[in-house]
Amino acid sequence: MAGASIVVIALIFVFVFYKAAPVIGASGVGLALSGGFDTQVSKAFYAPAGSPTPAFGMLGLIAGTALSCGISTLCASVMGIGAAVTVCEFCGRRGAAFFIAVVRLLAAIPSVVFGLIGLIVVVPLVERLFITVDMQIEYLDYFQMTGRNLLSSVVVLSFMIAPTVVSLSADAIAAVPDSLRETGYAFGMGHFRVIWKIVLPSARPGVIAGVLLGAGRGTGEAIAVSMVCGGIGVIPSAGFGLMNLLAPTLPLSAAIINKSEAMGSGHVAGALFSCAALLLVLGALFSLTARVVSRGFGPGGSGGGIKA
Amino acid sequence: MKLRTLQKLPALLAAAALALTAAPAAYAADISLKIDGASVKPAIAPIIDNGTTLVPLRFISENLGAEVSWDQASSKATIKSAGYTVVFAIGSKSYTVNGQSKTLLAAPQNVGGSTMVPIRAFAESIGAEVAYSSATHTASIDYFTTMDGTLKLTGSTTLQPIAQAAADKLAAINSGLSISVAGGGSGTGINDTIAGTNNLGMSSRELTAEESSQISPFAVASDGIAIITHPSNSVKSLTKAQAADIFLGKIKNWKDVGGANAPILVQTRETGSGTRSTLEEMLLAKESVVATATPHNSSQLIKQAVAKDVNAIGFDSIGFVDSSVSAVSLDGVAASAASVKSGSYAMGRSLFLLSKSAPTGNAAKFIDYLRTAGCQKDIVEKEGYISID
Repeated sequence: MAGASIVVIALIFVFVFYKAAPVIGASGVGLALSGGFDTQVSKAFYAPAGSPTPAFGMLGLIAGTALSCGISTLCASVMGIGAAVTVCEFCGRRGAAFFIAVVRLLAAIPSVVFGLIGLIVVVPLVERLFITVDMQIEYLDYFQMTGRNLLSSVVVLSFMIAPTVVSLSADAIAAVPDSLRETGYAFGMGHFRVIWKIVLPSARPGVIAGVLLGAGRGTGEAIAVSMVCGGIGVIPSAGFGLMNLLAPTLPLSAAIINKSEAMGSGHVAGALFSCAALLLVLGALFSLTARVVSRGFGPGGSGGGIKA
Repeated sequence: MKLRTLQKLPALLAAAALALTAAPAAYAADISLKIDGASVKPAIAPIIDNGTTLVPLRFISENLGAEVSWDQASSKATIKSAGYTVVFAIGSKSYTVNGQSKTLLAAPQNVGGSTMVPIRAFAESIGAEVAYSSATHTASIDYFTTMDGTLKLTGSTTLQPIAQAAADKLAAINSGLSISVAGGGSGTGINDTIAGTNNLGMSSRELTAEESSQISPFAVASDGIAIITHPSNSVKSLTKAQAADIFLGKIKNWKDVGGANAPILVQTRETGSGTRSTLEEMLLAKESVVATATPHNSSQLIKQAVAKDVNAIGFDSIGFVDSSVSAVSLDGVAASAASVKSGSYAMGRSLFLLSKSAPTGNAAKFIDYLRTAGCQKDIVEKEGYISID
């Protein structure tokens, strides 16, 4: 069984990279360092049959993935670890069991539902709270400032990642033996100090694994993000400052969905397979790191040192 | 009184039984009609005259995809299918098929405003098969269920979804039939047809004089694109030039076209959408929609986005426009099925199937099939196109 899954995974890698190879070859390093993906797709789609593979630049998409996933992982970690601590340390055993069950349910909600809620609730809210007609007019030369933007993607993604962080962190926190806590109390430490100095450090491997798996989910998440992201891979610019948050974005995964209508062109298909190849590598990195971290610091591991 | 009625009952029953058994021969109302295996019920029932079954001409024609025109002065009905032209005259036993004179068993007649013609002569004259089952009193016409072999279509990607849907339906009812529908664009369709490398071409543009001397076009649908805005947007009409400048990003504020001081938020479809290609071809001289435009993945989504934002502008097939958005007039002409058909709307056009010689066999039937009332409603209108009359 394990052998079969290794073969399947290997085949997926081979297939995706085989399909992506022409575009990666034609674009070279520019694939990751230049922008303009949207216009390149449109040009490639209308190019006459038999024309050579054009170069694509995915800097906008990579930036979109990094920003939307990075910021939302940060938010989800703060929310999620906080929630896990609260639930495990302050709600009693039965309360904790109940809340964790609810959170696991949240993790099971299909992502398209998150997208729908994002579209109906988050997008109009972001537009009402942060965007004025004057701002729209001012930025129209660079991008359309609407509720579909990086900020909305981050909000939706945060709520999608948080359950993963909460449940893995809560498991890790619950696994910290009471004897450790009692040792802390015996030294005269208060509850918060015990949590900060003893519980969290002991639970660290599980917590970090949760954050990394959450980040992995955030990177690969496609449907929900594609519904609220605005659909254009705008490259963030220092000149826009915080306004970058209100610009449309297009992470790699959402690009595959949004641009799939143009897959009739082989070059566009190759470009989308390059997105997939990048995502595949990122996803593999996240889950391998999560595994190494939770092994390395796990019970009986070498890194789980506690400094009281 | 009661008793007497009862005594008469057997006699009454016997009379009734006699009447019933006699009925099928006497009243054609009992004849049921089947077209391609499906029971159909015309408003005017078939009649029998001199042993010949007569059926309503227009009803049958619509189901076989043929077009009927009526000349009041000469009392003549002309039926045109892709491959045949048949002319009947009320009260006359002679009729013509592609110009050749033939003779009917019973003359066509007018019943309640409908022209009734002999079923066998009519159906066979346009290439259909007719069978009559005296056991069930059913007349069956088989036209689209008797296809086999292959058919190859190439050309316009605008027409491709319609042709593909029709091909799927035909393949489902004909086991020996295989139809391939390939894109390539109108140019490919026209060139392939002239070169004879396909059976039918597909084109979303009119033929040039030189092209139409070599191949003949058959209109199967029309296509129009409406420019849509929020219903409460005060701008209700644009010139074609203004509309083009908006979608190219040259006009960015509604106040420049007579509206409020507000940004114009252009909504577009993703690359690969046929509607977007059509807009770029017909309005933007093949240039691309402004790069900042928000892309959407479907007709529904772009319509919703426009319906939600008072400053948005987008486009959609006329067939998909509803009251949630308002369609802008172009050069003073409202976007509607009627203005597309009349040719007055700037972003409307006819879609053609092309044939090198007079179509016969599968090619003729495919054209006729797309022109049936059923296909016009279930395929053409459902895909957002405009049906032919």
